[in-house]
Amino acid sequence: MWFERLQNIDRRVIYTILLIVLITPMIKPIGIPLSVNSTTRQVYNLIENLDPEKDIVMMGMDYSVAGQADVHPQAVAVAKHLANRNIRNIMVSFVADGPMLAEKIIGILGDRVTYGQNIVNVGYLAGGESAIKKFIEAPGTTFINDHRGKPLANMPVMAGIKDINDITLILDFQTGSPGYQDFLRQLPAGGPLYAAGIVTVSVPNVMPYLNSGQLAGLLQGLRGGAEYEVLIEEPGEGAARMDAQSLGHVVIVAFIIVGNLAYFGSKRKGKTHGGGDKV
Amino acid sequence: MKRSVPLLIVFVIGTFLLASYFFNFTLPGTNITLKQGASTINNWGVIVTAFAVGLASINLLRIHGAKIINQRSGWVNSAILILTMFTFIIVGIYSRSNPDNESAAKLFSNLFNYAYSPFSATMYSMIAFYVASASYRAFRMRSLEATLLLSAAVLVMLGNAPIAEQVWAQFPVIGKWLLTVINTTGQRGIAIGVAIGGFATSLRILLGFDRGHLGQGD
Amino acid sequence: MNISTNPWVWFMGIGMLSLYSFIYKENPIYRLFEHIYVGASVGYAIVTAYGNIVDQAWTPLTTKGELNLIVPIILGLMLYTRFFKPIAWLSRWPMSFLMGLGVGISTYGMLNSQLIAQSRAAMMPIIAKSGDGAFLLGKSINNIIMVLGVLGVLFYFFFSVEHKGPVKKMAGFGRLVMMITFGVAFGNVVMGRIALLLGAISDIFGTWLGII
Repeated sequence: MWFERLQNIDRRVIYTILLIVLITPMIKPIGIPLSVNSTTRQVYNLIENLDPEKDIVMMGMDYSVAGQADVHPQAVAVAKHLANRNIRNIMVSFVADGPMLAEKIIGILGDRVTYGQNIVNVGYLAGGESAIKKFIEAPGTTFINDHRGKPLANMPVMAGIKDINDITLILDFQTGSPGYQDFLRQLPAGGPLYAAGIVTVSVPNVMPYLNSGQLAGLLQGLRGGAEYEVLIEEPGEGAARMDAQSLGHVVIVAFIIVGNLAYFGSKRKGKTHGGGDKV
Repeated sequence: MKRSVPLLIVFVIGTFLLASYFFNFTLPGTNITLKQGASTINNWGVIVTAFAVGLASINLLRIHGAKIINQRSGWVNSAILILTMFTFIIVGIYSRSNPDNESAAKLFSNLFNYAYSPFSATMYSMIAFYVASASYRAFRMRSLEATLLLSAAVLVMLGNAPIAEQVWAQFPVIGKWLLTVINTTGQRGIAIGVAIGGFATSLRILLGFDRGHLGQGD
Repeated sequence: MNISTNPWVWFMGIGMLSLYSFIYKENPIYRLFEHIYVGASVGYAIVTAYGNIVDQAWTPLTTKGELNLIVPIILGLMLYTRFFKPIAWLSRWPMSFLMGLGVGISTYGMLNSQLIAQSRAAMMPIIAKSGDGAFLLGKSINNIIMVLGVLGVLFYFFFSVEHKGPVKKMAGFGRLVMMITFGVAFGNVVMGRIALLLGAISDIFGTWLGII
């Protein structure tokens, strides 16, 4: 009876428990130490090894607003790192929401960057894989004006870009399609290095490509963003949510365990009642 | 004609683009190379895809417009939907056409940041509640496979939770091993299978055996 | 507590709570904001599509005289013939164009990056050695698991041979590997959704109510 009641707890009780567990550490942070994954460190080292005089980074703003909570902290942290090192950053989007999110990041960077000099938001190109192919074939001439409507031709940040090999590193932040598979299909052999920042949901799917060396680095969801903030020593949204994320995982694990205990308990009780004569 | 011309288009365009990855000769009677021609066709694709986005809006206008005209149940919401859609379109296009108008840019930015973006995030984040409920009420270790699945999920979640690392330092090690060894293995096998299947499907579409994109009717 | 006085933030907060009210029960307030969300999504998509058509087609056509762009403009307009029954069949032409384009540009890359590169990566030394020739037990065990695992998964989906004897054992091993793979995927789905919920909580309790 007790096990049955435990199994059939109203779902709103579950929702309430989840909310309390998530909200409490957001209001009162615990400060749980965070270790840094080797794949995050790979991305960090890629940027640390860039030469501000000649290297150019293309930041793919390919995440939608639906997944921004998972990926935006990564993109902000990486953009800050690029800005701190004064690396030329060309923000391109193959997802409609991208340019507005790029503008948000440029706003956060503030005086660290000079728009047109070391950063630009070239805007969105529709077409998915076609658009990626088009940009890879002609990165310097695909966009005539940037997202703000200003001509790109005279911007120092775009100077000297004739083909994709003039770009040193592509850092693509994505929530789905177009994503890493489209890029890996279209990038030429021996072309720029490719690293990705992806939503937690997609991490398992990407691992074979990281293992094979097709990806030079990977930022894994919200935790990847938090780890990157730790590496650049500028805690932000990612680090602020890690305590809650941590406890959220633990409470889901607890739900799975308690739910199964209740299930097996009621099954056992059922067997004892039904087979009582035999016992 | 109504079905044969589209099949011919698929074959010609697909073969042309595929060939451009292997050959690069000048097309007879022109001074354009195969690769240049492929780039041009690819560029056309970018433009046609942009046109395709408008199809959703026309459909919405038809459905909700009919609701408003016939004053069916929920017509007020339909009117608000169409009003919101046109607000975004008018403000967005005006702001785009007048890039120096800061008020228009600010208005569009506010519409994006306070109407579209958080509502989109809310809709997708609701799944967290259903996942929590399912974790408690539905996921049962009824068999060896289910046990393996749930155990792997539990270990990966604990491996990713910094608090679990403080309890036992091996949780992240186990979680990472599951992700980088076992998961990579399974995903690689699936990726290879998908690639083979994808290639077969591509050939079927190219050769006209797969006609789903033509729809119903003659 | 530092509640925002920005009317946009209030609209956002009330809208988000209204959408969340669906978890309790579907209600008219939820439906209102759901319709606003759908209208906003489609409206925003139209704006971005318009920008692309102007930048990639209209402007080069009218200012640089790139006459070949008339073709995609006509094809794009043909998509809308699907709404007129007598000429709806014309919309198959641009659909077929997009289909052929998709197949043409992805097939080579799919074989290259998914099939060949992944097959190559699956071929690992089962006796792993370090740079100076020392035998690495842990890495060797991992490599053996990975090689057998990939073969097992491929055998599981291979139906040209009957699954009996060694084939059945291999397919069975592949099945176990896949169960763990799906478990890892499920764990990541849970973590991802929690991350999205935290973003929404941050908007409501931080940006709006100023508690965080």
